[in-house]
Amino acid sequence: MRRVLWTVLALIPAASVVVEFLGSHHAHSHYWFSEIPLFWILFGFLGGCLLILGGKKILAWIVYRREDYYD
Amino acid sequence: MTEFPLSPAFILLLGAVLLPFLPGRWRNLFFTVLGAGLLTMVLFLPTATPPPILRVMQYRLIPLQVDGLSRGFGVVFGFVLAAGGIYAYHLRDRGQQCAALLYAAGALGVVFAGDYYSLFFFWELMAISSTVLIWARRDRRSFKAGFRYIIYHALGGGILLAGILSHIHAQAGDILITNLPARNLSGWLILLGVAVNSAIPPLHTWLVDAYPRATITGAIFLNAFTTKTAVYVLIRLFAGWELLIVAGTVMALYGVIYTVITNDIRGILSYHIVSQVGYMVAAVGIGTPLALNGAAAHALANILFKGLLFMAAGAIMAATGESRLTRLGGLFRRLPRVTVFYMIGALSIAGFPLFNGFISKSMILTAATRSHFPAVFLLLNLAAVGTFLSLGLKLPYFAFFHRARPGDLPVREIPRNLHPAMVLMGLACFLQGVFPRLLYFLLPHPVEFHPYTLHHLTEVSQMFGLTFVAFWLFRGMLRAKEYIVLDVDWFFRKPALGARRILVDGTLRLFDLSDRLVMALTRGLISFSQNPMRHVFKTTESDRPYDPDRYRPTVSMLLFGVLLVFLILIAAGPR
Repeated sequence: MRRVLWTVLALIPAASVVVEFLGSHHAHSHYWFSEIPLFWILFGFLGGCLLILGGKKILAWIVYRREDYYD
Repeated sequence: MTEFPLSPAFILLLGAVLLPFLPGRWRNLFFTVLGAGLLTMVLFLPTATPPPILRVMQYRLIPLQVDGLSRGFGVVFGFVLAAGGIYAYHLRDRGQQCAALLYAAGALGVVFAGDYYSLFFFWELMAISSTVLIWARRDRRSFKAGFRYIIYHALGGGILLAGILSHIHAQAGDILITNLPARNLSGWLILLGVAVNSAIPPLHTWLVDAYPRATITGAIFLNAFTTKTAVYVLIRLFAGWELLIVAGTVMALYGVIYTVITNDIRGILSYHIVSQVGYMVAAVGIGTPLALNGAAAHALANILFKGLLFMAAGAIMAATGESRLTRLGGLFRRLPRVTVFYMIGALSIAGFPLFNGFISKSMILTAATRSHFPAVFLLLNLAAVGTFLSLGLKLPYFAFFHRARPGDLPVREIPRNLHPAMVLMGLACFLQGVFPRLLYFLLPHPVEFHPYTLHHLTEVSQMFGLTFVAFWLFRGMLRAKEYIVLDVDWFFRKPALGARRILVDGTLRLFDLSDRLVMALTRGLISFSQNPMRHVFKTTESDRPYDPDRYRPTVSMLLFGVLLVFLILIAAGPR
């Protein structure tokens, strides 16, 4: 069960990459960044890392307080 | 025009008056049926006819003006009222039920208001009645948060009223809402007042402060009404104000980064309200028909999927009595159905295909692309990554799946009526995702939009697929910590503590000091006057109580006195 889930999870982005390269680039390519190959792969990964690290390493460092801070 | 404007808001006001007189379970039935009836009524409200006028003193008010925009909001408000009624079916709390009805009356009143005075009246009704849903939790922290909430809304309402009055004055007394605010002081004041209710940072702290402290059932209504009516007013009055594009984009990211580090599950959901309303605010700023449709669609979809998420979070709280991620875990085995409903809400809000969030977010993102805002497009996508990260992965991972040790957490049976309510909301999210027409017919402008393009689907699946990879790599770091997070309300809450120390504690200490001084003085006076002679004859009188006989003049003293007077008279007498 678990292995099936992981496979499905891996297959969906992989399939979409294949589709992206087979399909024609048209209509939506308005910007420079949509010309970058695998842009959304990079965006999803780097965006996720940015939010986790930015949140947990920088923001948390500033705003974490004990639960009774305001009491 | 003599016909009375039978606004849905008036029906709910009447309902709120009648409800307390009904016995126990009938109140819940009445509440739910009222919501369902309202939904039906709003669906069939005619749009074309000129609105009926209500004369109050010299004013000609229009409490019921229906068009596509207001009807869409009205329908979803009715739906969430009915679903919320089912969710709260086990509850026997007259106060909360009445407050929820009044709150819904306020929301519907704002949405159907045709003039500024009606709008303001119902706006304030919402502020007051919603506070009750926070206080009804009946603990100290809810009480305090509710106070901060009502103060914030009183200020916002005051600013709104100032803007409205000066706007009406400038328009020579025209109170119709079709009279849009101009970009002058009165317009900006109205915008500021609405910005408070839209929770645009830095005016958002009332939301993330009070919503996690509301009652389990109250949070569903709080999520549905206050911010969404504010978005409605923004769409109605401020379409195309460019500042909103910046404000909305900042908001979307500001809210989402806090969700990464927040511990309380309803705190996470509250920061997500800020983030999602950011999409709507940005879309209102873009201002094209597609963008406004997107803003309305996202507001309506949000009421449904965020309502569902609050219902699932409430079910967790009802089962465990706990809302902190650090104390939760392994709930999938205990609450499998709640897990499924939660995931439907989470996938909807992240914008997964097959759910309504996908449709509404696509509309806003496409509008941003067509109006040439590449930065807005990218940053809103980043917010979607964060939404999936925190609501689609972090929260369910740590609450439902991680640390699955049975017996760790006492899990109570949850009321059975929670499930049908979640089924309704989840079904709505799913059906609108699969049949977008169910969402489109509620929008203000005619829609010709196709979200399910191959391009868009590959984009979304790649983005979310790799967000999952990033989550899996850093999941250890994402583990919640038992802290609260500070927000900009620190700038008044911390000084308020200092001000309290000076003004309240300082005054009390001053009173205490003067009290002790006066008491000491009095005690001294008492002991002094008990025996004044003690202070004259220090050695003989030390501790003896006062005895008047000791000091009575003797006969010899009297004779001596008489003799003395006699001598003086002789000495001073005539010669």
